[in-house]
Amino acid sequence: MNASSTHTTSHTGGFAHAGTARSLLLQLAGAAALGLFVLYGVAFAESPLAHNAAHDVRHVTVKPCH
Amino acid sequence: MIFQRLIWSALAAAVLVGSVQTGVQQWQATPIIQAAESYESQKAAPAGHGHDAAHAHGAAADEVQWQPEDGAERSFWSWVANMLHAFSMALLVLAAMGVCLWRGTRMRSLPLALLVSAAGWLSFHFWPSLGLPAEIPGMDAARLGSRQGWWVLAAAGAALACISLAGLRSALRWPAAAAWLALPFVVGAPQAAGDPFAGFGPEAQAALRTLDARFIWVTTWISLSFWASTGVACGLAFERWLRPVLAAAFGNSRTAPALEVNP
Repeated sequence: MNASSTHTTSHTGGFAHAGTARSLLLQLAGAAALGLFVLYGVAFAESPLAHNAAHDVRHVTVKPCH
Repeated sequence: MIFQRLIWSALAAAVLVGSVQTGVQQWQATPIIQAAESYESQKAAPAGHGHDAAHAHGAAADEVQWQPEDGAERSFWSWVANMLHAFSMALLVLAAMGVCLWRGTRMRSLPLALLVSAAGWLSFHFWPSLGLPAEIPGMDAARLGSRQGWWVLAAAGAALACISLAGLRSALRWPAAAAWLALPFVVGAPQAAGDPFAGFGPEAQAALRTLDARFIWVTTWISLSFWASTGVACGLAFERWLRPVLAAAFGNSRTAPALEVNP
């Protein structure tokens, strides 16, 4: 570790952050994708177990059920 | 890893929002669902379709499937499902807020979270509900797959309308948003072929219609409470655990000072 690596986060804008920003955006996209996947499991999955466990929540959150 | 922080923030919001939702639903919605289910056994079976009463739906109707016992077990699984539902929506809200920060918003965390949550309510509740209103158990409806497909179309159309309004700078964003909002209704929501309560006797029909009308209003208030509490929880979590890291990493002069400059 040298001093320059700690300075990049505090001093430089733009280009030096491009890689970091891209990585963060990918992680935000990953979180959103996980959110959609969990939503599918709770609200749409056709498995009878998932349906019966989440039955009332599917009705209350106005998802097509049955 | 910001991803881990997103997961933990969404989990914290989900435990809070999912638990409150379970309480509200037990109080307002579950009595309506169970009242409707008490009529389900009176339903005349549609021709050519052996259909058990209560919960055994769909292709697996002839097999005995696990289902939670009424009472504590059913409430417990509703609590789990509510937390997972809140977790999924909190992840989307937090991710959208992160993108707003990247785009240079100067809004403070709580108003931003409430604005994103309003877009969530429009996309995930209100717009799909206009074509496919809330249903109580026992109603006939169009084929499940086509309704689910239309639900996704309506939610995606409303979400893209919000993204167009927030993301595009040109004047074209207004017609673009209107087109996305209109798309699901141009396609048209799938509807039941006949009266949704056709299988019931006259008394049960009257009772179920009253229950259904109440259920539509109850689910509207519950969805507003869900998105309002999701907005507050995500606003607090974003401010505490995500904004400092994201603002530093996105690090352009527009976002970093916003934390200190805000009145």
